[in-house]
This record gives sequence, structure tokens and C-alpha cells, in this order.
Amino acid sequence: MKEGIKILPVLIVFSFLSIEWFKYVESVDEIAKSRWHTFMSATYFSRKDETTALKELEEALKTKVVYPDAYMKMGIYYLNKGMNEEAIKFLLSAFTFYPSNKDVCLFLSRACEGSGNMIEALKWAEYCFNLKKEKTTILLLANLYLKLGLERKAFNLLGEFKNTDDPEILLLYGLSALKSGEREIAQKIFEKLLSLPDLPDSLKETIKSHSEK
Amino acid sequence: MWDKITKMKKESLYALLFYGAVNFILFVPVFFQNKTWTPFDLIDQNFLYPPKEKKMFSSTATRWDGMYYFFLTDYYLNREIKNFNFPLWNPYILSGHPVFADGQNGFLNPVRIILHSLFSPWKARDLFVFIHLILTGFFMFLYLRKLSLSFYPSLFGGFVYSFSLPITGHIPEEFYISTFAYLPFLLFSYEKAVNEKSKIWIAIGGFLLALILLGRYLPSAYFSLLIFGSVFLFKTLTNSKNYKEITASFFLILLLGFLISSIQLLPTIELSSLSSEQRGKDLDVLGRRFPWVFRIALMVINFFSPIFLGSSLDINPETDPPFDPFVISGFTGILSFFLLILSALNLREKKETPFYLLLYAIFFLSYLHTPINYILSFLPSFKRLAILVALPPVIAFLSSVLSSTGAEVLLNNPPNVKKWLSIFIASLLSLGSVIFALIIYGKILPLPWMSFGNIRIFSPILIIFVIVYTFFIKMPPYLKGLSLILISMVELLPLSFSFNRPCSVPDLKWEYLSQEKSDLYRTSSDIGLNLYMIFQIYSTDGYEGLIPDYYIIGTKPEIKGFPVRTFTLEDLSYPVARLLGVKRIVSSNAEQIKIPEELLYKVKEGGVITIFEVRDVLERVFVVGSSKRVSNWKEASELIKNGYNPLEGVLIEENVRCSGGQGSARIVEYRDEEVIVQTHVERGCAFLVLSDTYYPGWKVYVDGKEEKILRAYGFIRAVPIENGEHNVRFVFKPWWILPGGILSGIGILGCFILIIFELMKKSL
Repeated sequence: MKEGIKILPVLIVFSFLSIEWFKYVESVDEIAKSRWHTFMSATYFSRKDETTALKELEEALKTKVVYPDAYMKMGIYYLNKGMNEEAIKFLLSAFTFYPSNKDVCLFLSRACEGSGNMIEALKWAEYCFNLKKEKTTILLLANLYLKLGLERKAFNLLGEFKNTDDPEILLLYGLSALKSGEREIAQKIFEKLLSLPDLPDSLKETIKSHSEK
Repeated sequence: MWDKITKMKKESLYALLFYGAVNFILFVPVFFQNKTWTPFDLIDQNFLYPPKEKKMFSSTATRWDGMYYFFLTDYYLNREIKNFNFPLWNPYILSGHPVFADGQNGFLNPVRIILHSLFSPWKARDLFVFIHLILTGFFMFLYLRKLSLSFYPSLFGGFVYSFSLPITGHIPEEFYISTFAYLPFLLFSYEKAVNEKSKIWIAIGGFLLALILLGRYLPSAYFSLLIFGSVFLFKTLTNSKNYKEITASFFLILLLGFLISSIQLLPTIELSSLSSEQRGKDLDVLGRRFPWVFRIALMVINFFSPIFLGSSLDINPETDPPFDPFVISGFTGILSFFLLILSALNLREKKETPFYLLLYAIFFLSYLHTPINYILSFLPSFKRLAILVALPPVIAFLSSVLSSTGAEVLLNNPPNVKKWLSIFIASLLSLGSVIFALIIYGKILPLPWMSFGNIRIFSPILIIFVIVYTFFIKMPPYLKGLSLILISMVELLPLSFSFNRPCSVPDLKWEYLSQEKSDLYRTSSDIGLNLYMIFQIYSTDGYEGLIPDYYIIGTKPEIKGFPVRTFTLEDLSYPVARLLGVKRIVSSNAEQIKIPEELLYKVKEGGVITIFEVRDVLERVFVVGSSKRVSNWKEASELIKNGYNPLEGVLIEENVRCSGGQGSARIVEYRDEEVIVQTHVERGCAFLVLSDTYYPGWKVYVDGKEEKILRAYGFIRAVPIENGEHNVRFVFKPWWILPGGILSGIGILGCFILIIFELMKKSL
């Protein structure tokens, strides 16, 4: 009997972990169900069947443990519909799961901008940019700087990427240079832009009009 | 009565009951909730109802094999057996494919045949796994007892092996279990045969080796053979007294095993020789395409991370991890790893320990694709069969043996220094593994995951705490043994549940094609490669372990990487579609179709599926009045790919004088292994073309007289026909049936003779 007590800690850990794992396994079933409905909704969205897609997404959000992508997809849906407040609610839920996913904060920034909260939009855009410095995040942040009248900040930001051949980044860089009073730099950038091959005619016209200014 | 049973037998019975009870827990959903472990929900999600979703279960790649291959071949076998037919030729995939030759259908496993003849395909599969999981543990228990380990370490070893990640983490595939369940019992039989000089155990060993060779995965059988051979070498080197028994028993078991499995090995060797370009030559044994980070990851993942990561559902599918721990890990538990280190620190405890440790090191280094594979590649067929995914169960087997030895050491109270040292080394490696897993997965794991409230975080911590407690607290061996088993259960059982999910049994219907499947035209689609054999629809597509080069390489517009084991809608060009009579395209993504739009017309849309018909395709049989000689199949298939009109002349490799004729042909009867064609040729001579895959073993009889089948256009069949009305009969009569049958019969007979001989000797 005395010896038998020595196994008690093992038995306690065994019982405790068994119960906890049992709960976890149940949650796996729930999250799998949620994921299934999330994928189904993506399928119906791609088939342009919005009504069924939305029903699937609602099902995905009803499960005890929600597959985080469901929040993301719902957020994007509301964002595309222009319902920014609802979009923010769902995207914030998605963010709690995936704080390192740049798409979540990118959409959050757009939703905040749509709802008129430019300060929050800028905060999310900066967060997004710090997560990943790539075309979408650079453009998002630079555009917001320009919209908020922070031309010099936009100019400095885009200056880090001036060696790119991406016409959109170069155009924004040129514009921010122009607005910051850096006319010579702006002129050079516009010239570089015009020398790029396969530049769409509409873009050429825009550059020329800015260049003439 | 009970008192007369020996202690060993009683213990074996307890072990059997224990493994039965534990596995019963796993199979409660199957027995009481009408569920199945076969991933039907995945089949449903991807093919039958909605479209293919590429992101689905991205981190559990081998599950696709469960759906694309193993379940579907079982379903096919189930139906054919119930129709009292044992198929040799499967006409539904790859324009026709030999059934026994792919090295992984496992049709000849007697347990599988019995279960499939009695139950539905899903029930038969579940029962097969249930029985084999129990046997895996029990056979391992017997083998460990044979190695003179005591009851609890052996019971622990059996449990750890049968619930290791490669075995129970992949229930839907069941390809590991089909071979590795028998390995410990093969080694046990060998030990018995040597020690007791028993011919009965040689016969049993022969049967077991045959079961391994007839299993679902040739690379697994190959590694089992390597372990068996290594045990033979070890015994030869360490035991000079029984040299004769050791050698004779080994070679007799080998002989019997190979003889019995000849009926499947001969066709496999034949197909293997035809698919040499497709697979084998470029097998990258040094893993040049794997970055070093991948190899380190392989190593650390084995020690800790599966339990740490919980299940594949925790990974954000938006960002795929750089590798897949769930497929490639030989994880046997944290405790098992701690005990393995303890056994390594006590090499003198058992004479087998250094041997198994050496094997573990060799296979682990091989698994990491290190230069040791240069040396191993001198072994016959190593480059062709030793592939990465076959190694985790080998590592799990060796790890189970070593950790049981470690458990035995622990029960004998080793010095505290060794215990501390083993805890230090194992903790260091485990911790390293977690840090590495965090580096790899940290960014893609959901934020709430990273907390002590998460079971995947606190469970390993608690387990390590309890391991340390069990290592140092003084208790009677039976209590210590019981503790080890309890800890192992709470580590490994949840993994089985969270890595596999039971599914509801669905009503399989492919409504989109149910009306059109009555003719002999073929179908190609992007929704499941081998589903055709379930729905009895003829197709060019398919997924097999081995496929003749001239079909898989000859028909594809381009080859992206090796090995090539699939043919899908994405690979189908119009010239090939036309030649092979692919009239229907079923697609969930029209962008994948390579056939020009003007040659397609939409027949109907159903849900997310669109069905197209291809214009101007040829019938299954047609007549061509002339031929054009080509040097080989590659030249023929190049011409076809470049748009050569098949009706201008049959492309053949032989010089056959036959031209000027024209005519017609119609299929009178089309069965799996027999096609009867009625043909009429006017003027001169013409070629009758049957657009089924060319393959050795097919014979053709024109009006009862045998003629030679020509390989037409590089990959299908043709026969010259003189003018007039003719009855042409194509029959599949492979050469290996008779010699294979005779050799297998000799093997089985040999086993029975050995058993009878031994029994007679005993009765005298």
C-alpha cells in the first residue's frame, strides 16, 4: 500500500492529461468542421454564389472552436461590401489568431480607412509594413501618408526602394518627391519611369501630365 | 486449468488483452457510431460534391495516398471479390493497367481478402487496421520477450511501437502497418527457429516474410528485409555455436518467403523493368534538393515536435510549412526517447543494445540523407527502393526496441549519474527540437496557441516532470513499469485521435457521370485520379506506384521532375485525347484543360463541376489502312504529341507488310481481361487498333489464330488484319501466372512439409 502511493503523481498527471487531451480532440473535430465550412464558402465565392457562400461562412462561425480563417473571410466579405465596421470586428478576431499575417492588417487598414478612421488605418498600415516590406505594404503605407498630407514621410519611405523597376512604386515616389518640393528627383524618376518597357499608355499619360507640372 | 498455463503464456494473454483494449478505445467510433477511419470526408470534400481544394490538409500529404490509391484499390478489390472475380487487369485507369504489378496493392494478403469478401470496403479496411494494430503491439511484445526483456518493458515496447506516429498517426494509409506489423514476429520466429531448432518456426517465418513482401509498400518490405538481414549478420558474428542453425534458418525463411510471394513479385519485376526511366535512376539518396534546414528539421521533429504541434489543424494553411513532420516523423514519444538515451548509456546491459543502436544510427543518418547513403547505395536496389517516407517506421521499430531496453535498465535501478545524464541529453535535444519547431512554425501558429493554457505546451512539460519523477523515485519494478506505460499512453493515444479523424460513411455516387458511363469512351478529370475504378468509368488518368515509361512519359506533353506516378487532366493534350478516345472532360477548373476551346463543347454544369465533350475523338477500336515505321516508342509519341494524324498510318516499330485496306470495327464484348472485336476489312490489309495500353501478357487471336500484338503510336495495341470479316480476340494471359503460381505453390507446400515433418518427428 505504502509503495502503491508512489504511483499517485503519475496517475494524477495521467488522468488530468487524459481529460485535457479528450477536450482537445473534441476541439479538433469542431475546428475541422469550421474549416470545412470555410473552404466551402471559398468555393462558392469563387463560383459567384454569394448567398450559399455566406451561409457556409456563418456555419463556420457557429462551431464551438472557430477556424481562424473564417473570421478573415467574413472580414474580407464585409470589406468588399463596404460594411467597414463589421469588417473591422471580424478582422480583429482574425488578428488575435494570426498577428504575423500581413494580409489581416492590410485589410484592417483598408477597413479603417473606409470607416474614416485614418489614424487607425495608418497604424495598421505601419504594422503591416513592419511585418513584411513588399509591394502591397509599401504602396498601402505610402498612399496613406500621401492622403494624410505626410508627403515627406512618403518620400523618405519610398526612397528606400528607389532602385526598383516597379512602375507603381516609382510613380508614387515621383509624386511624393513632387509634393515634397524635390522637383529634380521627381523629374529623374519620371524619366526613369518613361524609359521602362511595356508601360501602359494610360500610365504614360499620367506621368507626362505630372512631369509637365 | 489456469494453473497449468505457463507464466509466459499468461503474460502473453495479458499483453494481447491490453493491446486489444487500448485499440478498442481507438475504434469505438467505428464499432458504435457507424464511423470509419478511412478519410471519406476528404473524398467527399474534394471530388464528389464540391471541387478540389488544394489547401485541404496541406500538411498531411500522405492522406492523399489514402484517398487516391489505397482506399480506392480496396474498394475495387472488394467489389471484384464479391463478384467472384480476381482481377489481373484494371481497364479503368491509365487506359488499362496490370493489377498485381504495382508493388503496393496488397491484394494477396489473406487477411485482407477474407475481410473484403465478408464486409463493406470501409468496414474491411477498419477491421484490417484494428487487427493489425493489435498484432503490431503483440508481435513486438513477443519479440522483446524473446530478447529476454521482462514483462513490463516488453509491454511498453509493444505499445510504443504500435502507437508510434508512423503506425497510428496514419491510419487512413495503412501501408506501413501492412508490412511493419509482421516484422517483429518474423524476427521472433527466426529466434525461435534458431534456438529451438524448430522447422515449424522456419515455416512461420517464411509465411511472415511473404506477408511483408505482399504488403502495401515495396520500400517498407525492402527495409524489413534489411533489418532481417542485419539480425542474421549480428547473430552470425556473435554466436559461433549455432552457426549452422542461424544460416540455414535465415536462408530457408528467405527462400520460402520469396517463393510464396512469387505470384506478385514476378509481375512487379516485369513492370518495374518497364518503368525504369520513370523511377529509380534519379532517386536522390543524398537529398540534394533538400536544404540543410530540412535535414535538421527531420532530426529534431523525431524527438519532440509532433506532440508539441498537436495536429495538422493547428497550422495556418495560408502559409505552408517548409516540411511535413506528420508524414516523415518516426516519433515514438518523449518518454521513449529518454529511455533510448538511457539504454545507449548502458550498452553492456544487453548484448543486442550496441547492435540495435548501430542500426538506429545508420538508418537515422540515412533518413537525414547524409553521405552514409553513398555506402548504402551499394546494397542491391537501394537507390530504387530506399525512399524517405519508408524510413519512419524503421526508426520507430528500432527506437521501440532500444527504449524497451532502456525501460529494463530503469527497472534494474541504474546509477543516478547515468539517469541524470540521460535526462540531460534527452532534455537538451527535446528543447532544441521545440526551439527549432518554433522557428519553423512560430510565425504561422495562431497567437492564443502560445500560452501555458495550451495543452500542447503544458502536456510535454508535465510529461517531462513525471518522467524525471519515475526515473528517480524508488518503487517496485511492476509499479515503475506501469508508470512507464501510463505515461506513454497519455503521450501517444491523443496523437492517434488528433492526427486521424473518424468520418461518416457516405453514399458514394458520382452523379455527374452516371448517365454517360455506359459507352467505351474515356474520361479525364481533375477530381480524383483513381476514382474511376470505383465508378467503373474508363480513363486515361491514374496514380500508381509503377507505370510503364512509354505510357506515362510517352503520353505527357511535358515531364516535370521524377518520379512520375500520375497522369491527370493537366497532362492531357488534344492529340493524345483524340487517340485514346477521351470524349469527356470533367473539370472543376476549366483553366487546367490544355485542349483548345474550339475542340470542346460544354455538355452540362452540375454544382461546381463542368462537363465538356471533346470533338472528333477516335473510338476505342478503329481501322487504319497503312503504317509508318518508327525507331522506338519515343519517336512515335513525339510525332503524336506534335499533332500527327493517327489515321494517316499506324506508327509501329516493326516492318510489317500491310497496307491498302480500309474497313470498320466494333467491340462485341469488353471485359477486364478479354476484348472481342468484330472487324471488316475491304481490299488488301489494314491495322486494327485497340486504344488500350500496350502491355506484355496481352495476346491476340484473329479467327482463333494467335498473332503478334504490335505497339502502336508508342503506347497502344494494333494487329494487322487481312481483308474479309474477322473475329479478333484480345486476351490477357500474362506469362507469370503459371511459373508464379507454381513457385508460390511450392513455397506454401514447402512450409506445410516442414510443419508436418516437425510434427511427425515430435510424435515419434
